[in-house]
Amino acid sequence: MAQDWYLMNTDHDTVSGFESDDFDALASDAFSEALASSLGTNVEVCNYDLTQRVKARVIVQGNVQDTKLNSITRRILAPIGTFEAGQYVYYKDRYWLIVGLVDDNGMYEKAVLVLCNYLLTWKNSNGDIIQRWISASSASQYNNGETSDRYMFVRSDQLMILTPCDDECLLIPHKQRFIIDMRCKIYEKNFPNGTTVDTSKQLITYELTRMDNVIYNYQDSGHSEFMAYQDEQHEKDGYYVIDGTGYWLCEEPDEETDDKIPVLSCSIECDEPIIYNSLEPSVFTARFSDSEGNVTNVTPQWDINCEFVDSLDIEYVENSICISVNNRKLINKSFELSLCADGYDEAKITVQIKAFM
Amino acid sequence: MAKSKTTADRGKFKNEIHTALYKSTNIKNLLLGDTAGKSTNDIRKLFREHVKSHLFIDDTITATESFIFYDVILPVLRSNVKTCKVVLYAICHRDILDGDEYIEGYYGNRADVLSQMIEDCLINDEETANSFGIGKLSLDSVDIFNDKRFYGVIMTFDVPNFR
Repeated sequence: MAQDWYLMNTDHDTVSGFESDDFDALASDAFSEALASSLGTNVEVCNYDLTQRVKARVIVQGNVQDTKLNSITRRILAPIGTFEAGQYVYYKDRYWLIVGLVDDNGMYEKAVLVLCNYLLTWKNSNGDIIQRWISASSASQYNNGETSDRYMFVRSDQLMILTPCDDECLLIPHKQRFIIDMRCKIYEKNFPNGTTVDTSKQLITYELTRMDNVIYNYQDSGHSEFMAYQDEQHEKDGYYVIDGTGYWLCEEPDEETDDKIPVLSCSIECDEPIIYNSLEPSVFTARFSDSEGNVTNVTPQWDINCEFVDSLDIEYVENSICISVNNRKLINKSFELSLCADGYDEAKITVQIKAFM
Repeated sequence: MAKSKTTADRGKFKNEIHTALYKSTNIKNLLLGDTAGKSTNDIRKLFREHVKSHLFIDDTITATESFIFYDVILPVLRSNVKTCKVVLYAICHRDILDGDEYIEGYYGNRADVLSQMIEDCLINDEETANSFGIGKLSLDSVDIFNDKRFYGVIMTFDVPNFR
């Protein structure tokens, strides 16, 4: 009996007699002994770009599963302070991402892992190649992969991508495109020696359409998620050898043509957006400009949004609208004056009717 | 319909008076001088500097120019009718009071001319005179304003109104 009791090795004083003292002193020791047993396994805890790797002894739970989804998640127990959300755990030759807040119970800390299934590659705004292991899961599991209108069909799929929470992942711009396709490995195997560029292969590409970088932030740690929507392959999407290493990259967004329609803008110019009751008309002038800021000559379409438009005296002179009012009941009321023209964004101002004082 | 507030007429009258004075080209010319080349906005700003809806306190203004100060009082409140009075100071700096500028139809010094223009504007203009209360605005009295820098007239107008 006494022999069993003293089996546990401890550096702590065990004579205080209080259960809480015993717990404090022995809780982590007991876990350490469990780690040292065959329950424990060796892993590496890695930072976001795998440049820092720390060996750790942990207990992995949930590794015998009977559903497809559960088989790619694990719970991992380790001495308190071993890891934090957003780190990778290299376990049995695979990278796993720690998701969910890591917390402890005084004896050990527990984290939830999801299996990383793809090494995502992209070019950041400085032109540097960034690679992160990600966990990609379907966010449109049962759609048929195409959307259509009457005349054409386009690819349709969306993936939920889980990434670490480092600067590069957080700074991925909206509409950033990625190649996410396991065929890349097969293509690479069959490239002739010396291949430096290949854009001939059929690829599945996605673009970032929604970034969720706050909801899984735990102040000192966390991971980031984004939604990637399948798009059509571009001509320059393919394989590129850069500094001796091959990468699968989407063409860089072309600022001239990609998602940027020339901006035609219009504005309403006036001394002040005020009409004084019974005084001379206030003049509001339309100003149209092209994407380079040059003034263009366009016929303005004015609209006044209010219930008392019939009480306003309105005169149109070239590209201006002159509005006056002679009705003291309208003092301190306001209306919306809007300007538009074909192809231009609408401009609006609120005009107040005031007594002249 | 909600009953009109007794004191609301003070503000309404001021709106009417300010607008009526601004619409008078003669008054604008006399108060502001030459406004050629100035924008409407600039003229309005200048006008606001020369016409104030409160009474004058000496030493607060020293510019050698002409000014109109006015306020509205309700000296008599009866059960159904109230009498509204407009007390208006038409004053000029003493240095520009007398001169030989001749304006057809107006007589006396600059303050006299200004007071006649105000009378034209508020009393002789039927539309303006009828825009106050239930009766016509009438000129009740004209007194002298005599101070250190400024000299002019104090005009009192009154009009009955429903309470």
